[in-house]
Amino acid sequence: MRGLRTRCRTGVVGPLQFEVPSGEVFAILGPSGSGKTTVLRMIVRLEDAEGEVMLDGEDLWRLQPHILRRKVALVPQEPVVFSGTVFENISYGRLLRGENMRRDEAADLLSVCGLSEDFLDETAAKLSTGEKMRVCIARALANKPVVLMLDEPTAALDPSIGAKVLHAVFTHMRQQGGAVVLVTHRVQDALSFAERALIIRNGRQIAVGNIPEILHSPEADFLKQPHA
Amino acid sequence: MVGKGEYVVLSWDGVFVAALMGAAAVVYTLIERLRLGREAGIGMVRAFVQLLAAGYAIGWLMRRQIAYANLLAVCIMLLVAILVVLGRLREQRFYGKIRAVVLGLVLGALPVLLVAIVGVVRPKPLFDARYLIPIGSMVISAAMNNMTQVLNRLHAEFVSNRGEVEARLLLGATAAQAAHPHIRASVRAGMLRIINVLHSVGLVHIPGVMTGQLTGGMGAIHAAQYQIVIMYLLMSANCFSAIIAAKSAAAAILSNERVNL
Repeated sequence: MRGLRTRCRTGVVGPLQFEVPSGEVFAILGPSGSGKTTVLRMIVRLEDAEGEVMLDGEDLWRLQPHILRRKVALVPQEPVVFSGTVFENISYGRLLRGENMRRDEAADLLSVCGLSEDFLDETAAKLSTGEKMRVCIARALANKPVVLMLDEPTAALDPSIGAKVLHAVFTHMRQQGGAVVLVTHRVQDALSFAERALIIRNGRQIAVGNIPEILHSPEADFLKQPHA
Repeated sequence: MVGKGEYVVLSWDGVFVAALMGAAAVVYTLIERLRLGREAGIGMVRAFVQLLAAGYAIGWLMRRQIAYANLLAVCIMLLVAILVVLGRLREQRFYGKIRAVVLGLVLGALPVLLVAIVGVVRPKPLFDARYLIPIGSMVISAAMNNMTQVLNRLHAEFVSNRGEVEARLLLGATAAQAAHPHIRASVRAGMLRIINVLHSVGLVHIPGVMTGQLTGGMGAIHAAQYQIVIMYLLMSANCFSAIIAAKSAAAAILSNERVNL
Protein backbone atom coordinates (compact mmCIF):
# COMPACT_ATOMS: atom_id res chain seq x y z
CA MET A 1 0.00 0.00 0.00
CA ARG A 2 1.54 3.25 -1.11
CA GLY A 3 0.71 6.83 -0.39
CA LEU A 4 -2.60 5.94 1.21
CA ARG A 5 -4.25 9.21 2.10
CA THR A 6 -7.72 10.45 2.87
CA ARG A 7 -9.51 13.51 4.15
CA CYS A 8 -12.64 12.44 5.96
CA ARG A 9 -14.88 13.35 8.87
CA THR A 10 -12.22 12.39 11.40
CA GLY A 11 -9.59 14.62 9.81
CA VAL A 12 -6.67 13.88 7.56
CA VAL A 13 -5.17 10.40 7.58
CA GLY A 14 -1.93 9.59 5.78
CA PRO A 15 0.21 9.41 3.84
CA LEU A 16 0.88 5.80 4.86
CA GLN A 17 3.00 3.14 3.25
CA PHE A 18 3.29 -0.48 4.34
CA GLU A 19 3.43 -4.02 3.01
CA VAL A 20 1.85 -7.18 4.39
CA PRO A 21 3.40 -10.44 3.09
CA SER A 22 1.11 -13.44 2.82
CA GLY A 23 1.04 -15.61 5.91
CA GLU A 24 1.83 -12.66 8.17
CA VAL A 25 -0.14 -10.97 10.92
CA PHE A 26 0.46 -7.25 10.62
CA ALA A 27 -0.66 -4.85 13.34
CA ILE A 28 -1.77 -1.25 13.00
CA LEU A 29 -1.03 0.25 16.37
CA GLY A 30 -1.95 3.62 17.77
CA PRO A 31 -3.96 5.37 20.44
CA SER A 32 -7.73 5.78 20.22
CA GLY A 33 -8.70 8.35 17.60
CA SER A 34 -5.41 8.09 15.73
CA GLY A 35 -7.11 6.99 12.48
CA LYS A 36 -6.56 3.21 12.63
CA THR A 37 -10.16 2.37 11.75
CA THR A 38 -10.11 4.96 8.96
CA VAL A 39 -7.10 3.22 7.42
CA LEU A 40 -9.02 -0.06 7.22
CA ARG A 41 -12.11 1.70 5.85
CA MET A 42 -9.95 3.43 3.23
CA ILE A 43 -8.47 0.13 2.08
CA VAL A 44 -11.92 -1.38 1.45
CA ARG A 45 -13.22 1.89 -0.01
CA LEU A 46 -15.78 2.68 2.67
CA GLU A 47 -14.00 6.05 2.81
CA ASP A 48 -12.87 8.03 -0.20
CA ALA A 49 -9.09 7.99 -0.41
CA GLU A 50 -6.16 8.59 -2.70
CA GLY A 51 -3.24 6.26 -3.22
CA GLU A 52 -2.66 2.70 -4.28
CA VAL A 53 -3.50 -0.65 -2.74
CA MET A 54 -1.81 -3.54 -4.54
CA LEU A 55 -2.47 -7.24 -4.04
CA ASP A 56 -0.08 -9.58 -5.85
CA GLY A 57 0.58 -6.90 -8.47
CA GLU A 58 -3.12 -6.10 -8.95
CA ASP A 59 -4.34 -2.59 -8.14
CA LEU A 60 -7.30 -3.35 -5.88
CA TRP A 61 -8.76 0.13 -6.17
CA ARG A 62 -9.30 -0.41 -9.88
CA LEU A 63 -11.76 -3.18 -9.00
CA GLN A 64 -15.41 -2.53 -8.21
CA PRO A 65 -15.68 -2.21 -4.41
CA HIS A 66 -17.79 -5.35 -4.00
CA ILE A 67 -15.20 -7.40 -5.87
CA LEU A 68 -12.39 -5.86 -3.76
CA ARG A 69 -14.28 -6.68 -0.54
CA ARG A 70 -14.51 -10.35 -1.48
CA LYS A 71 -10.70 -10.41 -1.54
CA VAL A 72 -10.09 -8.14 1.44
CA ALA A 73 -12.45 -8.70 4.37
CA LEU A 74 -12.97 -6.23 7.18
CA VAL A 75 -14.59 -7.16 10.48
CA PRO A 76 -15.60 -3.93 12.24
CA GLN A 77 -15.13 -3.30 15.95
CA GLU A 78 -18.88 -3.39 16.63
CA PRO A 79 -20.19 -6.81 15.62
CA VAL A 80 -23.32 -6.55 13.49
CA VAL A 81 -25.33 -9.68 12.70
CA PHE A 82 -28.24 -9.94 10.29
CA SER A 83 -31.68 -11.24 11.16
CA GLY A 84 -31.88 -15.02 10.83
CA THR A 85 -29.78 -17.89 12.05
CA VAL A 86 -26.03 -18.07 12.50
CA PHE A 87 -25.86 -20.36 9.45
CA GLU A 88 -27.73 -17.80 7.35
CA ASN A 89 -25.28 -15.16 8.53
CA ILE A 90 -22.22 -17.23 7.69
CA SER A 91 -23.50 -18.24 4.26
CA TYR A 92 -24.60 -14.66 3.35
CA GLY A 93 -21.47 -13.73 1.37
CA ARG A 94 -21.56 -16.95 -0.64
CA LEU A 95 -25.26 -16.52 -1.41
CA LEU A 96 -24.54 -13.08 -2.81
CA ARG A 97 -22.35 -14.79 -5.38
CA GLY A 98 -24.99 -17.43 -6.11
CA GLU A 99 -23.06 -20.15 -4.28
CA ASN A 100 -24.53 -22.48 -1.68
CA MET A 101 -22.59 -23.18 1.50
CA ARG A 102 -22.58 -26.62 3.10
CA ARG A 103 -23.44 -26.82 6.78
CA ASP A 104 -20.23 -28.70 7.56
CA GLU A 105 -18.19 -25.88 5.99
CA ALA A 106 -19.97 -23.35 8.16
CA ALA A 107 -19.51 -25.59 11.20
CA ASP A 108 -15.76 -25.79 10.49
CA LEU A 109 -15.49 -22.01 10.35
CA LEU A 110 -17.49 -21.67 13.56
CA SER A 111 -15.16 -24.13 15.21
CA VAL A 112 -12.14 -22.05 14.11
CA CYS A 113 -13.81 -19.18 15.94
CA GLY A 114 -14.38 -21.28 19.04
CA LEU A 115 -18.12 -21.95 18.65
CA SER A 116 -19.68 -25.37 18.35
CA GLU A 117 -21.86 -26.63 15.49
CA ASP A 118 -24.90 -26.27 17.76
CA PHE A 119 -24.77 -22.52 17.21
CA LEU A 120 -25.62 -22.85 13.50
CA ASP A 121 -29.37 -22.86 14.13
CA GLU A 122 -29.30 -20.21 16.85
CA THR A 123 -30.88 -16.84 16.15
CA ALA A 124 -27.86 -14.61 15.60
CA ALA A 125 -29.44 -11.54 17.19
CA LYS A 126 -29.85 -13.38 20.48
CA LEU A 127 -26.13 -14.13 20.91
CA SER A 128 -23.84 -12.29 23.31
CA THR A 129 -21.53 -9.57 21.96
CA GLY A 130 -18.53 -11.90 22.07
CA GLU A 131 -20.42 -14.66 20.26
CA LYS A 132 -21.63 -12.17 17.65
CA MET A 133 -18.03 -11.08 17.05
CA ARG A 134 -17.02 -14.70 16.47
CA VAL A 135 -19.93 -15.17 14.05
CA CYS A 136 -18.80 -12.01 12.23
CA ILE A 137 -15.26 -13.38 11.91
CA ALA A 138 -16.58 -16.75 10.67
CA ARG A 139 -18.85 -14.89 8.22
CA ALA A 140 -15.84 -12.98 6.88
CA LEU A 141 -13.78 -16.17 6.59
CA ALA A 142 -16.58 -17.83 4.59
CA ASN A 143 -15.78 -15.48 1.70
CA LYS A 144 -12.25 -16.98 1.61
CA PRO A 145 -10.55 -13.57 1.68
CA VAL A 146 -6.89 -13.13 0.77
CA VAL A 147 -6.53 -10.50 3.49
CA LEU A 148 -8.53 -10.47 6.72
CA MET A 149 -8.63 -7.17 8.58
CA LEU A 150 -9.86 -7.14 12.19
CA ASP A 151 -10.66 -3.87 13.94
CA GLU A 152 -9.99 -4.11 17.69
CA PRO A 153 -11.38 -7.67 17.92
CA THR A 154 -10.31 -8.08 21.54
CA ALA A 155 -12.69 -5.29 22.57
CA ALA A 156 -15.70 -7.52 21.91
CA LEU A 157 -14.16 -10.90 22.76
CA ASP A 158 -14.13 -12.39 26.22
CA PRO A 159 -10.50 -11.95 27.47
CA SER A 160 -10.34 -15.55 28.70
CA ILE A 161 -10.81 -17.05 25.23
CA GLY A 162 -10.16 -14.07 22.96
CA ALA A 163 -6.48 -14.83 22.49
CA LYS A 164 -7.16 -18.49 21.77
CA VAL A 165 -9.81 -17.60 19.17
CA LEU A 166 -7.56 -15.07 17.45
CA HIS A 167 -4.63 -17.49 17.32
CA ALA A 168 -6.92 -20.10 15.72
CA VAL A 169 -8.20 -17.54 13.19
CA PHE A 170 -4.66 -16.41 12.32
CA THR A 171 -3.53 -20.04 11.92
CA HIS A 172 -6.49 -20.65 9.59
CA MET A 173 -5.54 -17.62 7.49
CA ARG A 174 -1.90 -18.73 7.33
CA GLN A 175 -2.98 -22.19 6.16
CA GLN A 176 -5.05 -20.54 3.43
CA GLY A 177 -2.00 -18.50 2.37
CA GLY A 178 -3.65 -15.28 3.42
CA ALA A 179 -2.56 -12.35 5.55
CA VAL A 180 -4.11 -10.62 8.54
CA VAL A 181 -4.19 -6.94 9.42
CA LEU A 182 -4.98 -6.42 13.08
CA VAL A 183 -5.92 -3.01 14.37
CA THR A 184 -5.35 -2.48 18.06
CA HIS A 185 -4.57 0.26 20.55
CA ARG A 186 -3.03 -2.29 22.95
CA VAL A 187 0.72 -2.81 22.58
CA GLN A 188 0.33 -6.20 24.27
CA ASP A 189 -2.07 -7.43 21.56
CA ALA A 190 0.38 -6.37 18.85
CA LEU A 191 3.23 -8.15 20.64
CA SER A 192 1.15 -11.29 21.19
CA PHE A 193 -0.23 -11.73 17.70
CA ALA A 194 1.77 -9.82 15.11
CA GLU A 195 5.26 -9.91 13.68
CA ARG A 196 5.38 -6.41 12.25
CA ALA A 197 3.41 -3.25 12.82
CA LEU A 198 2.60 0.21 11.58
CA ILE A 199 2.39 2.82 14.31
CA ILE A 200 0.17 5.81 13.62
CA ARG A 201 -0.64 8.90 15.61
CA ASN A 202 -3.06 11.67 14.61
CA GLY A 203 -3.37 10.00 11.22
CA ARG A 204 0.37 10.18 10.54
CA GLN A 205 2.71 7.24 10.03
CA ILE A 206 5.16 7.18 12.95
CA ALA A 207 7.02 3.95 12.27
CA VAL A 208 6.73 0.66 10.44
CA GLY A 209 8.73 -2.54 10.94
CA ASN A 210 9.41 -5.36 13.41
CA ILE A 211 7.45 -4.70 16.57
CA PRO A 212 10.22 -5.01 19.19
CA GLU A 213 12.46 -2.69 17.15
CA ILE A 214 9.90 0.03 16.48
CA LEU A 215 8.60 -0.08 20.03
CA HIS A 216 12.08 0.84 21.24
CA SER A 217 12.35 3.75 18.83
CA PRO A 218 11.92 7.21 20.39
CA GLU A 219 8.99 7.99 18.03
CA ALA A 220 6.96 5.26 19.74
CA ASP A 221 7.45 6.56 23.26
CA PHE A 222 3.91 7.91 23.35
CA LEU A 223 2.60 4.32 23.28
CA LYS A 224 4.20 3.66 26.65
CA GLN A 225 2.28 6.46 28.30
CA PRO A 226 -0.75 5.28 30.30
CA HIS A 227 -3.33 7.32 28.33
CA ALA A 228 -2.12 5.79 25.08
CA MET B 1 -86.94 13.29 -4.07
CA VAL B 2 -83.80 13.35 -6.21
CA GLY B 3 -83.91 11.11 -9.27
CA LYS B 4 -81.11 9.26 -11.12
CA GLY B 5 -78.80 11.63 -12.95
CA GLU B 6 -79.76 14.55 -10.72
CA TYR B 7 -77.99 15.98 -7.71
CA VAL B 8 -78.63 18.40 -4.88
CA VAL B 9 -76.93 21.73 -5.41
CA LEU B 10 -75.42 22.94 -2.13
CA SER B 11 -76.26 26.46 -1.10
CA TRP B 12 -73.72 28.77 0.59
CA ASP B 13 -75.85 28.34 3.73
CA GLY B 14 -74.93 24.66 3.70
CA VAL B 15 -71.25 25.52 3.34
CA PHE B 16 -71.64 27.92 6.27
CA VAL B 17 -73.20 25.19 8.46
CA ALA B 18 -70.29 22.84 7.65
CA ALA B 19 -67.85 25.67 8.44
CA LEU B 20 -69.57 26.17 11.79
CA MET B 21 -68.99 22.49 12.58
CA GLY B 22 -65.33 22.90 11.67
CA ALA B 23 -65.07 26.03 13.79
CA ALA B 24 -66.70 24.19 16.70
CA ALA B 25 -64.02 21.50 16.38
CA VAL B 26 -61.29 24.18 16.41
CA VAL B 27 -62.81 25.78 19.53
CA TYR B 28 -62.93 22.37 21.20
CA THR B 29 -59.21 21.83 20.56
CA LEU B 30 -58.57 25.26 22.13
CA ILE B 31 -60.65 24.37 25.21
CA GLU B 32 -58.73 21.12 25.56
CA ARG B 33 -55.45 23.06 25.11
CA LEU B 34 -54.25 20.69 22.39
CA ARG B 35 -52.30 23.43 20.60
CA LEU B 36 -53.98 22.50 17.33
CA GLY B 37 -56.23 25.51 17.02
CA ARG B 38 -53.95 27.68 14.89
CA GLU B 39 -53.03 24.91 12.43
CA ALA B 40 -56.61 23.68 12.17
CA GLY B 41 -57.96 27.20 11.67
CA ILE B 42 -55.40 28.03 9.00
CA GLY B 43 -56.10 24.65 7.41
CA MET B 44 -59.81 25.43 7.17
CA VAL B 45 -59.18 28.81 5.57
CA ARG B 46 -56.63 27.39 3.16
CA ALA B 47 -58.96 24.55 2.17
CA PHE B 48 -61.74 27.05 1.48
CA VAL B 49 -59.59 29.31 -0.66
CA GLN B 50 -57.73 26.52 -2.47
CA LEU B 51 -60.82 24.44 -3.26
CA LEU B 52 -62.79 27.46 -4.42
CA ALA B 53 -59.87 28.52 -6.64
CA ALA B 54 -59.61 24.97 -7.96
CA GLY B 55 -63.36 24.98 -8.61
CA TYR B 56 -63.13 28.16 -10.65
CA ALA B 57 -60.02 26.90 -12.49
CA ILE B 58 -61.53 23.51 -13.32
CA GLY B 59 -64.78 25.21 -14.32
CA TRP B 60 -62.87 27.46 -16.69
CA LEU B 61 -60.95 24.51 -18.13
CA MET B 62 -64.16 22.51 -18.58
CA ARG B 63 -65.84 25.36 -20.43
CA ARG B 64 -62.87 26.03 -22.71
CA GLN B 65 -61.78 22.39 -23.29
CA ILE B 66 -58.30 23.30 -24.53
CA ALA B 67 -56.25 20.09 -24.39
CA TYR B 68 -52.94 21.91 -23.89
CA ALA B 69 -54.35 23.95 -21.02
CA ASN B 70 -55.63 20.78 -19.34
CA LEU B 71 -52.26 19.06 -19.76
CA LEU B 72 -50.53 22.17 -18.46
CA ALA B 73 -52.72 22.02 -15.35
CA VAL B 74 -51.56 18.43 -14.77
CA CYS B 75 -47.92 19.52 -15.19
CA ILE B 76 -48.45 22.29 -12.63
CA MET B 77 -49.96 19.77 -10.20
CA LEU B 78 -46.95 17.54 -10.75
CA LEU B 79 -44.52 20.39 -10.16
CA VAL B 80 -46.31 21.44 -6.97
CA ALA B 81 -46.29 17.80 -5.80
CA ILE B 82 -42.51 17.62 -6.35
CA LEU B 83 -42.03 20.81 -4.34
CA VAL B 84 -44.32 19.55 -1.57
CA VAL B 85 -42.38 16.27 -1.23
CA LEU B 86 -39.03 18.11 -1.22
CA GLY B 87 -40.39 20.49 1.41
CA ARG B 88 -41.55 17.65 3.64
CA LEU B 89 -38.18 15.93 3.26
CA ARG B 90 -36.25 19.09 4.09
CA GLU B 91 -34.54 17.52 7.09
CA GLN B 92 -33.60 14.30 5.32
CA ARG B 93 -30.41 15.44 3.67
CA PHE B 94 -29.01 13.06 1.08
CA TYR B 95 -27.45 13.33 -2.31
CA GLY B 96 -29.86 12.45 -5.14
CA LYS B 97 -33.04 13.43 -3.28
CA ILE B 98 -34.37 15.71 -6.02
CA ARG B 99 -33.73 13.12 -8.70
CA ALA B 100 -35.50 10.42 -6.66
CA VAL B 101 -38.58 12.59 -6.12
CA VAL B 102 -38.78 13.73 -9.75
CA LEU B 103 -38.27 10.21 -11.11
CA GLY B 104 -40.78 8.75 -8.65
CA LEU B 105 -43.54 11.17 -9.59
CA VAL B 106 -42.84 11.43 -13.31
CA LEU B 107 -42.21 7.73 -13.97
CA GLY B 108 -44.51 6.42 -11.24
CA ALA B 109 -47.61 8.60 -11.48
CA LEU B 110 -47.76 9.94 -15.05
CA PRO B 111 -47.91 6.57 -16.86
CA VAL B 112 -50.70 5.48 -14.50
CA LEU B 113 -52.62 8.66 -15.29
CA LEU B 114 -52.07 8.11 -19.01
CA VAL B 115 -53.41 4.54 -18.78
CA ALA B 116 -56.37 5.80 -16.74
CA ILE B 117 -57.34 8.35 -19.37
CA VAL B 118 -56.40 6.55 -22.57
CA GLY B 119 -57.10 2.97 -21.56
CA VAL B 120 -59.81 3.10 -18.90
CA VAL B 121 -62.05 6.17 -18.98
CA ARG B 122 -61.49 7.04 -22.66
CA PRO B 123 -63.42 10.32 -22.60
CA LYS B 124 -64.19 12.35 -25.70
CA PRO B 125 -62.32 14.65 -26.08
CA LEU B 126 -59.48 12.54 -24.67
CA PHE B 127 -58.02 15.18 -22.39
CA ASP B 128 -61.37 16.42 -21.11
CA ALA B 129 -60.78 18.49 -17.98
CA ARG B 130 -63.78 16.86 -16.27
CA TYR B 131 -61.79 13.59 -16.08
CA LEU B 132 -58.16 14.54 -16.53
CA ILE B 133 -57.97 17.04 -13.68
CA PRO B 134 -59.74 15.09 -10.90
CA ILE B 135 -58.16 11.74 -11.80
CA GLY B 136 -54.77 13.40 -12.26
CA SER B 137 -55.10 15.07 -8.90
CA MET B 138 -55.96 11.79 -7.16
CA VAL B 139 -53.15 9.83 -8.77
CA ILE B 140 -50.49 12.51 -8.25
CA SER B 141 -51.46 13.32 -4.66
CA ALA B 142 -51.59 9.63 -3.71
CA ALA B 143 -48.13 9.09 -5.18
CA MET B 144 -46.89 12.26 -3.49
CA ASN B 145 -48.06 11.27 -0.01
CA ASN B 146 -46.87 7.70 -0.27
CA MET B 147 -43.50 8.69 -1.69
CA THR B 148 -42.91 11.17 1.12
CA GLN B 149 -43.53 8.45 3.68
CA VAL B 150 -41.38 5.89 1.83
CA LEU B 151 -38.40 8.22 1.35
CA ASN B 152 -38.62 9.42 4.93
CA ARG B 153 -38.58 5.84 6.17
CA LEU B 154 -35.78 4.84 3.78
CA HIS B 155 -33.56 7.65 5.03
CA ALA B 156 -34.26 6.63 8.64
CA GLU B 157 -33.48 3.00 7.75
CA PHE B 158 -30.06 3.94 6.40
CA VAL B 159 -29.28 6.21 9.33
CA SER B 160 -30.29 3.76 12.04
CA ASN B 161 -28.98 0.64 10.28
CA ARG B 162 -25.76 2.07 8.89
CA GLY B 163 -23.73 -0.70 10.57
CA GLU B 164 -25.84 -3.41 8.99
CA VAL B 165 -25.67 -1.82 5.54
CA GLU B 166 -21.88 -1.53 5.81
CA ALA B 167 -21.66 -5.13 7.05
CA ARG B 168 -23.47 -6.29 3.91
CA LEU B 169 -21.24 -4.14 1.68
CA LEU B 170 -18.16 -5.52 3.46
CA LEU B 171 -19.27 -9.05 2.63
CA GLY B 172 -19.25 -8.21 -1.07
CA ALA B 173 -22.83 -7.04 -1.55
CA THR B 174 -23.44 -4.59 -4.36
CA ALA B 175 -25.24 -1.36 -3.49
CA ALA B 176 -28.52 -2.83 -4.76
CA GLN B 177 -28.08 -6.00 -2.68
CA ALA B 178 -27.18 -4.06 0.47
CA ALA B 179 -30.10 -1.66 0.02
CA HIS B 180 -32.74 -4.26 -0.77
CA PRO B 181 -33.85 -5.14 2.80
CA HIS B 182 -34.23 -1.44 3.58
CA ILE B 183 -36.06 -0.63 0.34
CA ARG B 184 -38.38 -3.55 1.08
CA ALA B 185 -39.10 -2.32 4.63
CA SER B 186 -39.74 1.24 3.45
CA VAL B 187 -41.96 0.39 0.48
CA ARG B 188 -43.91 -2.16 2.54
CA ALA B 189 -44.55 0.42 5.24
CA GLY B 190 -45.79 2.89 2.64
CA MET B 191 -47.93 0.41 0.75
CA LEU B 192 -49.64 -1.10 3.78
CA ARG B 193 -52.00 1.86 4.04
CA ILE B 194 -53.44 1.52 0.53
CA ILE B 195 -53.49 -2.28 0.84
CA ASN B 196 -55.46 -1.96 4.10
CA VAL B 197 -57.86 0.37 2.30
CA LEU B 198 -58.28 -2.21 -0.48
CA HIS B 199 -59.19 -4.79 2.16
CA SER B 200 -61.75 -2.64 3.94
CA VAL B 201 -63.19 -0.52 1.13
CA GLY B 202 -66.95 -0.90 0.74
CA LEU B 203 -67.22 -2.64 4.12
CA VAL B 204 -66.36 0.20 6.44
CA HIS B 205 -66.11 3.30 4.34
CA ILE B 206 -67.28 4.38 0.92
CA PRO B 207 -64.48 6.48 -0.56
CA GLY B 208 -64.72 9.95 -2.03
CA VAL B 209 -65.12 9.06 -5.70
CA MET B 210 -67.99 6.66 -5.13
CA THR B 211 -69.62 9.04 -2.67
CA GLY B 212 -69.27 11.84 -5.19
CA GLN B 213 -70.74 9.77 -8.01
CA LEU B 214 -73.65 8.62 -5.85
CA THR B 215 -74.46 12.11 -4.64
CA GLY B 216 -74.01 13.30 -8.23
CA GLY B 217 -76.81 10.98 -9.30
CA MET B 218 -74.86 8.10 -10.87
CA GLY B 219 -76.16 4.52 -10.50
CA ALA B 220 -74.62 2.57 -7.63
CA ILE B 221 -72.98 -0.11 -9.78
CA HIS B 222 -71.47 2.46 -12.13
CA ALA B 223 -70.21 4.41 -9.12
CA ALA B 224 -68.69 1.19 -7.74
CA GLN B 225 -67.00 0.56 -11.10
CA TYR B 226 -65.46 4.00 -10.95
CA GLN B 227 -64.27 3.42 -7.42
CA ILE B 228 -62.74 0.03 -8.29
CA VAL B 229 -60.85 1.61 -11.17
CA ILE B 230 -59.66 4.47 -8.98
CA MET B 231 -58.48 2.12 -6.21
CA TYR B 232 -56.45 0.06 -8.67
CA LEU B 233 -54.96 3.17 -10.22
CA LEU B 234 -54.06 4.61 -6.82
CA MET B 235 -52.42 1.37 -5.79
CA SER B 236 -50.40 1.30 -9.02
CA ALA B 237 -49.32 4.92 -8.69
CA ASN B 238 -48.37 4.39 -5.04
CA CYS B 239 -46.44 1.25 -5.86
CA PHE B 240 -44.58 2.45 -8.95
CA SER B 241 -43.67 5.85 -7.54
CA ALA B 242 -42.55 4.39 -4.20
CA ILE B 243 -40.35 1.69 -5.74
CA ILE B 244 -38.81 3.99 -8.35
CA ALA B 245 -38.12 6.76 -5.81
CA ALA B 246 -36.78 4.35 -3.18
CA LYS B 247 -34.45 2.61 -5.64
CA SER B 248 -33.19 5.91 -6.98
CA ALA B 249 -32.61 7.31 -3.48
CA ALA B 250 -30.89 4.13 -2.31
CA ALA B 251 -28.63 4.09 -5.36
CA ALA B 252 -27.61 7.68 -4.60
CA ILE B 253 -27.08 7.07 -0.88
CA LEU B 254 -24.99 3.98 -1.62
CA SER B 255 -23.20 5.36 -4.67
CA ASN B 256 -19.65 4.02 -5.00
CA GLU B 257 -20.86 1.16 -2.76
CA ARG B 258 -20.43 3.13 0.44
CA VAL B 259 -22.90 4.88 2.73
CA ASN B 260 -22.96 8.55 1.71
CA LEU B 261 -24.84 10.10 4.62
